[in-house]
Amino acid sequence: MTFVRFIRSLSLVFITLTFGYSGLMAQNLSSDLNRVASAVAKVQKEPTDTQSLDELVATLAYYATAPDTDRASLIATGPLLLEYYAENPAMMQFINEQGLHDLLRNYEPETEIDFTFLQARGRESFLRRPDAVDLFSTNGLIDVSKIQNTYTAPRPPLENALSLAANEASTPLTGEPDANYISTALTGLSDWIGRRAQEELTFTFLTRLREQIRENELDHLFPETANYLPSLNLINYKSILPSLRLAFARDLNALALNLGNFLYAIDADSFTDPAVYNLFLVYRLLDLGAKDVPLSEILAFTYGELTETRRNLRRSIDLQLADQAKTSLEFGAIRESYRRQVDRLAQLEEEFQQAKQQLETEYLIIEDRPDGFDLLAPLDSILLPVIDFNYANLLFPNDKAPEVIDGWLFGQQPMQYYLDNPSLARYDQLYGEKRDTLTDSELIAAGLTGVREVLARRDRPVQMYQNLLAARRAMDDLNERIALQDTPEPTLQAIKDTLEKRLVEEQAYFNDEEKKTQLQFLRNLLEETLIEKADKNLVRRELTSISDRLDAFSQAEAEQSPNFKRLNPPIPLPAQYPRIESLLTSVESDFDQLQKTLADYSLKHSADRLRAHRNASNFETVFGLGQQMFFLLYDQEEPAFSLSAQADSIEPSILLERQFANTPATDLTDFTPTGQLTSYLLDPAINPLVRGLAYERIQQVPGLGNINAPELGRLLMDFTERLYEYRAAYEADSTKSPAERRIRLVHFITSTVSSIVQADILADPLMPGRAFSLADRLPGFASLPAINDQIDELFAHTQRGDYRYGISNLVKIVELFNIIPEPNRKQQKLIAQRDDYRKELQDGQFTPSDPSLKGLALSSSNYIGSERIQFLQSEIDRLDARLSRMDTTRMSRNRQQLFLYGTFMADVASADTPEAFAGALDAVALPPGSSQLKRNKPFSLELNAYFGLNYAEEQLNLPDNFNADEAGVEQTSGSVSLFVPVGLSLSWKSRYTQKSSYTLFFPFIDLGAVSAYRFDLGQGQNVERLPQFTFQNVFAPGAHLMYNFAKSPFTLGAGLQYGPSLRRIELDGAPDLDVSAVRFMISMSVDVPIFSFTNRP
Amino acid sequence: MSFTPTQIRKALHDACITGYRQQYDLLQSAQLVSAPTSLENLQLILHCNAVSVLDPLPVLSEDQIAELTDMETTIEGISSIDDLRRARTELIDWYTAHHSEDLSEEAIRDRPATDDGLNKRMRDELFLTRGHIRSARRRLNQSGQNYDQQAYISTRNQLLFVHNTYNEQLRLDLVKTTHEQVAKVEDILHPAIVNATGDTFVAALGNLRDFILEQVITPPVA
Repeated sequence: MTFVRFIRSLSLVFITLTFGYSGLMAQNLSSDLNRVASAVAKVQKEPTDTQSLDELVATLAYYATAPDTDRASLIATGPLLLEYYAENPAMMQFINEQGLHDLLRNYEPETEIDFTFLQARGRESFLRRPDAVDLFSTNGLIDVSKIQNTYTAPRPPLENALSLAANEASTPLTGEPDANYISTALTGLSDWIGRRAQEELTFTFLTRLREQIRENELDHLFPETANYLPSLNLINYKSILPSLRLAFARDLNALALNLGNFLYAIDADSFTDPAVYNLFLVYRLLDLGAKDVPLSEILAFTYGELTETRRNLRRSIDLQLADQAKTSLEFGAIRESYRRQVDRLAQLEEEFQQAKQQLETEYLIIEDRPDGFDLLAPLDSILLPVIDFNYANLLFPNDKAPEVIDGWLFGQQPMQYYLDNPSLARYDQLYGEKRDTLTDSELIAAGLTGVREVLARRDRPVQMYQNLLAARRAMDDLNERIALQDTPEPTLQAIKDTLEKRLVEEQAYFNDEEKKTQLQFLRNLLEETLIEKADKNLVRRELTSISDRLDAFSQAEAEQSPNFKRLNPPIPLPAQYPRIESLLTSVESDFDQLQKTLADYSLKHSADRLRAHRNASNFETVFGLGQQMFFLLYDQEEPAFSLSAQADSIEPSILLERQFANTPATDLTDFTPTGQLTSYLLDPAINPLVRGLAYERIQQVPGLGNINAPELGRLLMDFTERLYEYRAAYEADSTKSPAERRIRLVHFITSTVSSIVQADILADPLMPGRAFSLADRLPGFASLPAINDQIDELFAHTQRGDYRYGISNLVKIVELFNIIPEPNRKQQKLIAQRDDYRKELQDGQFTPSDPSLKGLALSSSNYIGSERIQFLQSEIDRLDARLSRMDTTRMSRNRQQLFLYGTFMADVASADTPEAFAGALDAVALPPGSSQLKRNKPFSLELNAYFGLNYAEEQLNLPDNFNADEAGVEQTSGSVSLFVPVGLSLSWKSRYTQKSSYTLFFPFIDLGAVSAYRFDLGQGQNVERLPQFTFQNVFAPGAHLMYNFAKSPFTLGAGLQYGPSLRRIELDGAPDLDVSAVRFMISMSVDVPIFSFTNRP
Repeated sequence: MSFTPTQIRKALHDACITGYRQQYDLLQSAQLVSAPTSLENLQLILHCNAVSVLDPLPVLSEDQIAELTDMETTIEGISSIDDLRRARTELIDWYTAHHSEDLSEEAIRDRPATDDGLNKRMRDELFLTRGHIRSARRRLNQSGQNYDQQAYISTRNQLLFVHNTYNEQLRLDLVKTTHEQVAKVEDILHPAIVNATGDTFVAALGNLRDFILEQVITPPVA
């Protein structure tokens, strides 16, 4: 209920957003590109166009900081933007190519920039981000009690999250067959049941289906079917078939969703597999989409859920680790290492405080000057962040978290800290009625969580030091300027005296007479430069000229003379804080050690959950990327993206070709806005701008690392297409069924995730120019696109009732997940070996670029080295190849079975005529081509029929007292008949390579026996030529030896067979006599196996 | 004349405080405290504290007592800045002669910071003082509220002077603060600066200054 209420409130927010601000313009990347490009074009024509410059500055500042316009205001000047974008290669390319660098360098907006024109409704909601950092309360302040709370709150079950998500997403479903089908089924059945012999086969088949379902956990995949398949017997089997059909239809309809339960049943720890995790997310998104939650909210909500999952996983990891802590030596090492770190951090805080205090004092003193505020104002953006920061809590604002965490690691509350910082809330927490009582283990777990938080912030001191250095330099420069400003201009006499002093010193340095003379020349000249002259400017110029000559002399000599040293001072070292630097070095190495110790300890005791945690983190990255992409592209009011809006029926590529084939644009002076993102991307002048803005947003995604800017354009195109498809379909589907809308949504989700993980947007910092995708970087993600394709198709097919195709998808998914069947022992060994290598590779390649993940890194980056990586990769490939060779028999047989039964269910479920229904049963009961089985297999046993002709020598079994001659009866006679026996066939081949085979056939009945036409050549002809049509005449036990021709269903046979049992002899004046017969026969027939006991399909 | 150890301690402490107050009074003329003088004063007050807690005093020889007699004369005779400087030098010399401690700036900075949680809390709060002054002043300037500029500068300089000393005393655990004192700074004195009007701004600074001065010159805990 709570969840429903939450969704409702989300919808309410959405409605407010939609209707509350209808006055705002539509906004997305295209319109911003339009504006920037137009502004640049105007500025290129008229460099003093401040309105256009303001627009340019506003847009660039907004993209750097959205949705926080306060931060945008802080960098909304030309120089600051240049500094900000210096790391953004694409944007710098654009700025340089368009000649904007000099313009921006000198541009300060005259009035405060207004960003409201950039803040479009709906769009910024994509950037909503639930607290990514677990420990922060909503007001952004750390609350250590929150860590504690996570261990007192009830723990949601992690184990069955996948099933819950699948169930949540499964209602309501459509596509179940209507009531008509029952009569159809019954009619079909009545026809089919008439074929009595096959009933037995159907029974056998259904029994095997039931066993198969039980054996392979398929009851999770086909739960309804499993319910309707109780122990069958022939009596209730007919009545159960209609219900069974309904069950089939329901199961197949929900197949995509049941897949989740099935995967969960197979592997309860399935969150360690990114592919399974991906499926989980598809369910969650589908569920939200089905409830008509807006896309932005879905993304934000999923992002929040991922965070929540990650948090839960981390909590469970830390609880698991805490349980091991008491007896673990490694944990002792973590505690020691952490305590040392707390001390160092305290020292570092002290040094930062002192440095800040010094800067602040200077700041206050400069403010006392009449021009103080004006002097300081330009430096505020550098100085204020440094002196406004409270270094008392270097890593966490407002609380001494490191000290508290230290207490927890020892399984204790930090009472001394609480006593020194008393509060009512804390008192209640410790002693109140509703006090939290935590066990030692829970406290230790809270401590471990805290240590990870500390590690996640490990880069902060270095960043702060960089800021401090910059502030110190700025303050030094300012002090120097002030000193210069306050020093009165030197008098001419002072200048002359200084120059004289320099000349004397220089002359004393050199021993060479010639040089001494040269300098003496200058001294004499100086002596004659009289200060008293009326034209003071002339005197000044003369002094300057002499000084220039002296400097030129010193420089040319390039010796360490006094004047040379004055002209070439040693490069001044930047303002440095040696104590801070030395502490930082120690802190860094201590952090490394702590991280390594914690990682080793975690890996040893909780490896699987760590991997699951990493999956959650990685998907957070994927969704973070999605949020930024939608922020760039989403446009509430122009649903049909520019492609369709302007191109109508023209193919996009043709359109683009027409407009941009010959566009060598290098500047924008003739820019004409088109409003098409794709065309902007193809325009060489604007392309860097597009990529630059995208780069700015994408680099804000946590956990991505270095970004490969050139690929961003393609990802944008891909996303535009995804959104366009989704939007167009959504509108077209608005009158269609909810099922169709859900199909679209699943397609959208799966294709979007695939786009993200496949885009080569990551750059290798060590090898410039080399790019890779998330799928490359995270080995577990490699199979995601293929799985997503199959899930997409499976969902669409099953929802639309195309069950047969759905089964194909299912079989492929099963293959991709590599889950059926249970491997044999040798395979298990190989798989275990391969998985160990995979894990090592995965853990070794994992380089957490996002600081918030660092605490959970399984090992430090580049831990295993490239040689080891190569070795692991080659071993994995080798084992995979071996496994796939072994797979061919066992694995493929199991998948074939899944395919067979699934197809049968699909055919039954979608049969809408009696013929189709019977056909479905025929298809499994009489698999075509099965006559080949006995030709291809070394041995087989079957229930078999033949259809052909035979010629027989028939011998009548006359009574002993019967005189045949008298009666005019020929006891032996040739006969020709149809050959339609049914019986057991035992087949073999004399050698493995033989193409044909032999069969020993034992018929029970022969339907052709009643057609045995008797050729009586003798007199009388009193024996009936055709036997009577009775059951006795069909009963025909016997034995045949058959030769099975290779590659054909024909068989040549010879054998002895009893029957017909009742051949009537008409005797004159006496009652007719019925006698039996035995036939020795040669047959030529078509082989029709009914059921194989040895060769399973 | 002979001294009991208590008398020696008191005499030395009084001498230190006299010197410190002299310097403090000088700041009223709105001159800035230069860095070297500031350090000297800091050292002086640290030595005062150190001497005050020296219990028992080292056993003094007759000659040493004689030296002290001379010093008492010197201290009693302070009547100018030069006297003050001389007396301070003598005090520091005497102190360093009888203690092996390194009293250089570097050595003092190397001393470990307090692990007293309450002292730490007070220090953390005091590190915010300058920021409060700055933001209040900027706010008053922007809203056009006037205050006496000269009085502000001299009061602020005195405040920063005692502030530095107190902070260092806290850091080295030479004084112990109390919950009441911490609460006074957190809840009364600092908010008074943050929320000051043009009329109350300088007085708010003065209140904090007086509070801190009182802590600085009070004989430290033995």
